[in-house]
Amino acid sequence: MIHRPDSVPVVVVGGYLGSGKTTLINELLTQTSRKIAVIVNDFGSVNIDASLIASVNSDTIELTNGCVCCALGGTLADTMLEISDREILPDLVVIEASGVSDPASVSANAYLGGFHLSATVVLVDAVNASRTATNDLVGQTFSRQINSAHVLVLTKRDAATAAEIAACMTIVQQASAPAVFREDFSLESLSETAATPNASLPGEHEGNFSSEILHLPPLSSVEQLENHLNGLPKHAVRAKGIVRIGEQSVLVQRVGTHTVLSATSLAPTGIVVIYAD
Amino acid sequence: MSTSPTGSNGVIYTARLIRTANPSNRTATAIAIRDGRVLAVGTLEDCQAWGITEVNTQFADKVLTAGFVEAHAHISAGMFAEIPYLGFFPRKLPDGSMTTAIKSTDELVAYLRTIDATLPDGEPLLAAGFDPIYFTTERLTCHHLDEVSTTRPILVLHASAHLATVNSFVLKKYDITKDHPAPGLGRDDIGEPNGELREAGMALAKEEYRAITARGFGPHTMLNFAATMRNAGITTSSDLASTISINDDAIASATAITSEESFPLRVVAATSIAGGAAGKKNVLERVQHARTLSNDKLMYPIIKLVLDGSIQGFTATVDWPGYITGEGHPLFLAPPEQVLDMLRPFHMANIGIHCHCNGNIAASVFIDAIEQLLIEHPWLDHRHTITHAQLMTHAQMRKAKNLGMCANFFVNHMWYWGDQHHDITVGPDRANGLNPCATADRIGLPYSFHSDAPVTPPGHLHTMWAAVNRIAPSGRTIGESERISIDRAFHAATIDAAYQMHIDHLVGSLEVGKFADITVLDEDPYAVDASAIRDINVWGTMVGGVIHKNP
Ligand SMILES: [Zn+2]
Repeated sequence: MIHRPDSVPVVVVGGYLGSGKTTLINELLTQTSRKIAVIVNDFGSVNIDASLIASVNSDTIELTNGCVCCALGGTLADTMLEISDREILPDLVVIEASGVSDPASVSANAYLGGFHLSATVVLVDAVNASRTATNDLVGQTFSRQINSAHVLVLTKRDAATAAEIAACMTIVQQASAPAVFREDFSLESLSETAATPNASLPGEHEGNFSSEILHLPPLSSVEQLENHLNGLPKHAVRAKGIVRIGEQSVLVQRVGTHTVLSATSLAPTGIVVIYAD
Repeated sequence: MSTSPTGSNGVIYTARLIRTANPSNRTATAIAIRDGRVLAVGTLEDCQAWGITEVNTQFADKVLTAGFVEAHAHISAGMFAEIPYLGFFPRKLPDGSMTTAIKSTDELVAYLRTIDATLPDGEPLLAAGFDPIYFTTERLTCHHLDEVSTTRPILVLHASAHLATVNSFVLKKYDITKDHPAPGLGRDDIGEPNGELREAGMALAKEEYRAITARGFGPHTMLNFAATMRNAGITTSSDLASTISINDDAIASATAITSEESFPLRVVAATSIAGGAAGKKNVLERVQHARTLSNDKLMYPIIKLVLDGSIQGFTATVDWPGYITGEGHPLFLAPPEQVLDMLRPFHMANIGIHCHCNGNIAASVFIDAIEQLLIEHPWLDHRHTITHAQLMTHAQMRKAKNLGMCANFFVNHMWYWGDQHHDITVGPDRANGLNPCATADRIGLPYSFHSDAPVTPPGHLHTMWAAVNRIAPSGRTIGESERISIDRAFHAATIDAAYQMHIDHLVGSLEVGKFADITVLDEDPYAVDASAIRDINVWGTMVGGVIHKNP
């Protein structure tokens, strides 16, 4: 992907309510001396630790308005533009997406001038994942979140039963993104490595794998897509994502050299390619 | 133009007919006003019994009605006074002029050219309200806008506010080329950006996006809002999802503006608790503080929460079997599990809650939360309101009725998107049951209906017309058995709207002691053909006895 070398990396942290987003961001703030702007777009009280923020010369911005159908302004995009106007830019922007938002649409804000997207990290609470996935009210929201991730981080393993972890693994294995356990994951290293897309993701649990996000230009035919995929190196063991062919969004799932395509109404995400190193 | 009544003792106005929305005295021919309030209503003789000598006959050939009350509109309804409006259906601007209806891409280009000709060099051309959902012509691209100008930035915001189209000048200005990675870019067959900027992608055109979002939120917005409402005959309107109470400066400025005698509207500022402001900004404290600063034309009796998206955007939470064409993207804007906790402090403080629920899943979440809150804290007169309420099931309506709730239907949808709902979103059966006013009457659920201005143009002559006729632009009637009488519609547009905002003791009917808020019409909505209700001319209004004539 193309971005200017001086642009500010953005990490989007999504995941359903109670999946541990705030805890993760607080831990990130203790681990770093970098200047981080944290944008919080969640409900209830702000739990980002103010003392941590002060100590690392970072700041937290709360969004006061969600996506109200008829209200312009006050949005995440406005906040990003304000940050891009700062005289001293932050080293990293972390966006805590609301528990019901689609991290894919939140991460679209990371493509605004002066920024680039490092990664969309979606947290999955191992205890509740299968219950949330099958919940009538929010099941669809949950699966959209999972499908918009570059990295899935499984939280609350200690509190989960073996059956809950197994159910959770079944859910995340159907997703395109690699999954790691919380204790194997550092957001700090992710934000550094992802700026160079070929670097390996930290803590990949299936062994030594790395991943890359392939952003294809809009395609006019299936043949064009196949040409791109066939051009991948041999150690690309898996690829998954959504591309646009003509007017149609297409879900691409590839294992080895076998590719399955299916129509979808979801927006294109790019293709995540997993390499066996 | 505003004029105050003279005579400290009071003034009597005579009229061809007065419709009071007060069932004890349904009609009258004279009304006496003293200190901005209704002193008497009946015959001239009844009014003269109070010893008033001044009789004003300027409305002798007019029909006066209880002032219309709009329970779901937004202050940004006045924005089209500041941004050229490109809608398919024309609107009346604050100065009384009508906008040009834009019905094809060619008409759009021609209209923008006329604006281009009036702008100084280099100034951006910004416009809003473009509504291609009704077009059969090809999609708008940068190439059409390049026919308007290649030397100044052009940004056209679509009616949905989720999409904008820019010209090639803007694409070049921000270096938006084929290899730009942003997901919100529309592209042509060979992958070149075609000028469409979607959702967050709109902000790629940084300066133009900022300029257009800043308009409609300036110091004139409140005045433009009030003038727009006055032109539609509305004397009280909510600003639903208001931010006025959030800071002291906004309260002070809104208080000063509304206190002017010439300000022609009572504003019900329903503070938004969307987007997580609830716990963080201490919205409850802010609302309670603002309430201590209320005046007769600025009140804070209710708050607003948005729970889901829209039906035409396929983001409303529609229960099984969902949308008929394509996959929906049902969207909760607040986590359903947190709704109870978010609402509790407001319910405990006896503040009315208006909750945006387009889909029936959202409606269930809200109704269940209210049931639980009533068990915890039995406020019997809460009147909590499901606003939009478009897809409520009859079971939900019965339960809502039993809980003492109200509905506020978006009946203008029957006209503006009726055909789309019939053909594309939910299908004929559920379209027939959208905004079910007649069923609400059968069940006994109190309701009003609304324009959601600026989403549709404000005005209760139009909402009443829509509720009485339920006709879509194709000419088909959608849900014949949900049509209601003009009498029911008139009460929904006046006293029942006031009721759900907890201000029915002040406005909504011409009743002795209440504010003298009157809508002045050329014709009687009960007497004209049902198909012509929306065409009645609004002469102006009276708010607290002060006359506001439309331009
Ligand atoms: Zn609204």
